[in-house]
Amino acid sequence: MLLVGEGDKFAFSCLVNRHQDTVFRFIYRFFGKEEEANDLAQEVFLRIWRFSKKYKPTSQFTTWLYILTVNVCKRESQSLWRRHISLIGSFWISGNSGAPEFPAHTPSPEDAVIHAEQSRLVLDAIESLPPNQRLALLLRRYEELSYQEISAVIGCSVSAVDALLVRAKAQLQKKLVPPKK
Amino acid sequence: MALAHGEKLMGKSSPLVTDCTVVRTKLSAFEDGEVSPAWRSEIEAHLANCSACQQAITDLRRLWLDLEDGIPPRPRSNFTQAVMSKITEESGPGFLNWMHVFSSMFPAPATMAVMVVFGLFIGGWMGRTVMEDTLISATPQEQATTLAAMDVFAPIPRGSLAEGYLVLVSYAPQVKQ
Repeated sequence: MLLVGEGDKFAFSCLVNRHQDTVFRFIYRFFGKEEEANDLAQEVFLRIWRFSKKYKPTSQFTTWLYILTVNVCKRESQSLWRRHISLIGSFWISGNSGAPEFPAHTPSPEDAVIHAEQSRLVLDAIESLPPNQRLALLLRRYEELSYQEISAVIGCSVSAVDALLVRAKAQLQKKLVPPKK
Repeated sequence: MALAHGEKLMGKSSPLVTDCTVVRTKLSAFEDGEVSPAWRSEIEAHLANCSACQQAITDLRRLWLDLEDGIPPRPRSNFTQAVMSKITEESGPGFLNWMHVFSSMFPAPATMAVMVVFGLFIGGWMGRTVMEDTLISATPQEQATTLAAMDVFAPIPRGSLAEGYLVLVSYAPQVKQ
């Protein structure tokens, strides 16, 4: 990262190669759209390049990476333009409008159908959460960050992270776990 | 990531867990391994004797498994090249950099402002051109024709039903008298 700060493009390309999957998957799970995840992941790496001179190795690089990724997700979800577009889109498209796009490379047709259905349900349920709950849940479930680390990334207290996760899990249980008879 | 965990959640006081409602609020942190050892042993003791809370924690664990999202998506194959070409573009002329920073800060407002300025310019230019062509440089007869044609934009154009109605209304009081 220090080399990147000095303007070393080769070091930067290595850094992109190493972390692109993490950033892409996080954003993909946040928005549920592959195309959007690609664009926003690029935006994250462009920010890393722009702000690399300001980076100070006081904390882990991955924490800084998550902070930038979370900021891009927050900004995008709060964007007036995006909200208007999705509002208009909700009138135009019916049926499976909320269905996420799935990658083309799948193991077999049967697996693809099962996985796609499972992924669609999970992503839809996650997407229905408020942004902060969604962020906390993704950082905990898929990135396996501790509450302390999540609080540093989101910028809130540890107890607030706990509250966010409790609410997120309760809401997901209502959506994903079928009611008992 | 290896940040120090610091103080564990709910590690401040010595717990005396007997109430299910207290346990339920702590189950999420308990399952995530974010409670202090004292709380952990208290909750474990409670769970050993409470089937409802056992069911609650089983549900939480099942939810965690259900959140497995199957196919791991991957970024585009040319992702790194795309990023590298963008940073090469960014190190271009200073003016373009300034524009990019501005548009990334205010994407929608900047676009709208540019569109409004462009619209005002085009509107002004077209209005001026039409006025010059049709009224100023035209013969008196052409001017009269143009003005008559513009009458269709009036609220009550001549010869329209609206004008007929107004004429009728203006006669109405005289008929009563």
